[in-house]
Amino acid sequence: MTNMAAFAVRRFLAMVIVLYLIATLVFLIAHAAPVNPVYQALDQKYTPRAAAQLRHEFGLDQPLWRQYSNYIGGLLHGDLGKSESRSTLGESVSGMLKRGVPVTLKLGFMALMLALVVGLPVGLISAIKQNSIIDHGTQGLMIFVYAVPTFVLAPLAQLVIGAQLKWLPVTGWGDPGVLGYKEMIMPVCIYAAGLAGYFSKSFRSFLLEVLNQDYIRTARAKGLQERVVLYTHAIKNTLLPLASIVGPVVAYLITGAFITETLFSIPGVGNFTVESTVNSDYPVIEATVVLLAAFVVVVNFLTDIFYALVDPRVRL
Amino acid sequence: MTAPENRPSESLLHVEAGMGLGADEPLPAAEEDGFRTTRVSSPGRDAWRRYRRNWAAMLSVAVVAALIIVAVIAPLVHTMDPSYADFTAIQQAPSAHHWFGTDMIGRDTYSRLVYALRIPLVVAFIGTIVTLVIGTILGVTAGYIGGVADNVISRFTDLMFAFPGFLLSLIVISLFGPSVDTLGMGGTGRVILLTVVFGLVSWPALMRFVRSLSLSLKEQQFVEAARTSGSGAWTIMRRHLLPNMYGLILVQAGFIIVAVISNETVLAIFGLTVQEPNADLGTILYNGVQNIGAGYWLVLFPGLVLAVLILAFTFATDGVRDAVDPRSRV
Repeated sequence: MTNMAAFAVRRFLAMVIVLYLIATLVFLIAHAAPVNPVYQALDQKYTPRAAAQLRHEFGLDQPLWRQYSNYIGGLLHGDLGKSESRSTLGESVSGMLKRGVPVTLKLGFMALMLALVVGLPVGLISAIKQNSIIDHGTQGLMIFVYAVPTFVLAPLAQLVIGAQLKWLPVTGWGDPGVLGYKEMIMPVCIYAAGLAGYFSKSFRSFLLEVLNQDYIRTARAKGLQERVVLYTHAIKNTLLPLASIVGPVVAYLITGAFITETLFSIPGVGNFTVESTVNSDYPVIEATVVLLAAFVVVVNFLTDIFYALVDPRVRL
Repeated sequence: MTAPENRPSESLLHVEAGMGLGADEPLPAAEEDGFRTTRVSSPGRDAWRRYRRNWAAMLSVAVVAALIIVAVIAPLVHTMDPSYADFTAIQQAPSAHHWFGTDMIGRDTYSRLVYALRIPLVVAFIGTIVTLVIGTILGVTAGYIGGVADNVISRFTDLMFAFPGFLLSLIVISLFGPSVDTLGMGGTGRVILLTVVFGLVSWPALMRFVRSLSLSLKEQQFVEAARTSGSGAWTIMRRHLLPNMYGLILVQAGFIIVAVISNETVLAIFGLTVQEPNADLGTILYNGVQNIGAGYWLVLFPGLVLAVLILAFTFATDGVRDAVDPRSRV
């Protein structure tokens, strides 16, 4: 296990360096940008005096290295700065995140669960009944929902199910009572659709790969029930390849959160980040980009550790 | 010692097929005897033969070609000035006059879509070329030269890979976008910015792919033969490694194009690509979503155009993958 510990420490240090470099890169991009946040925030109330005061308030009058150390120090303490846009001027970014993150997590979690519950069984059935009509039908559908992007699926569903048939509300989130549940159905299903397609497609091909192995033939030859062969021999061996799709899935979840929240007006992290990009509110952009990038990096780190635990060859 | 360099290189999969013969030349003997020319198979020709049999892929390529042609000749096929707001024809349903209807301020949706097609296509194609150049050069260099060069390039790639490309493009475009809008007409500044950004964020995955291909190819005997006969690293990379990767790189290029079109459209929906009155497919779609009760045509047509565009590129690329590497088919 010392081997494993050394691997974990090495990967952890690499992760910390990557996180630091990402935070620095985001800082540099934001400060190289030719946007004048003070001008943006004050707009018509712009006077040199008000501008100077605001610059002082946000620490923008300090030298760059000072701003940088404040920024890195703030990140370490969980202080992400204050919003500089007109509508939310002076509100702390962490406060905005505290409102947005639970919404995004709830939406993402429900979509992920739905995608797993639909995608994996469909992939399993397709693999067992390979080349049957069920296989071709379900895989055709799954490849279609995987290939058609969310930003096409969502507007078309909103148009047909929401605006024309009026079965479900077109947009909205978190209203009390039954309406709140009805509002969830469409975004969660649309968000999950592409993911379910990806899961079923991948799980099917991983299973087929495993089912062609010698040890499956051996298991069948010694007279084990097909159920035992499938559940104890085959599925266990798809876990390792399945871990390899975690990265793409996380990337999908993040892009998906942005687009789903924007199209369905859901007040999550994606939604207010998009708003802040339109207002050039760069403390908010910096904070969310660093936070989401950190999330991706940490998930990749955990996946690597999982890999190393399951497959000792990786540790080298 | 130029002999080995003049030899056509063989794909890993087709070593036996075109060995030692000019890929595109018919067998000389067959021609002299007046017999029906025996065509020698080459990896490229084999792939094309397989591709032609795949009707879905052929249809997709035709659709892609049609969309590109429409985008190029937009000034010839549009019916109205795409940014002309006709206040006497607001929010009209599709008709003989306005094929796809008009929007909330009376602009012709069909003409807007025709022009809007240009933006994702230009960004995706040029951005992908930038990505291909960076990713291939870095990948082949890291893979073939190895050593310190490999270490430096690979660590840099790891860092870029760790940074989610979508977030990077989001932050750069939102912060630098407003100041490039004044460059050129019709949102040229934004288009250039988008192209550069997508070109610069999409290469890490390709670099890893090309590097691993180079690592396996450089152990092949024909590379060893070239090395023994005195070919330099540059010649080997250019004449022996790259020609064996073209097919697989083309497949990656197709997937990168699809990804760039998707990400560009997402940014358009966020209002970060070309600004009014210029149109992007995503902005037209999002305008429709915001006025979804005002008329089905505001959402339906931009949605369909985007779906067709992305599906056509996806299935055409899937076809190329199946043709280049038949084993990949499950």
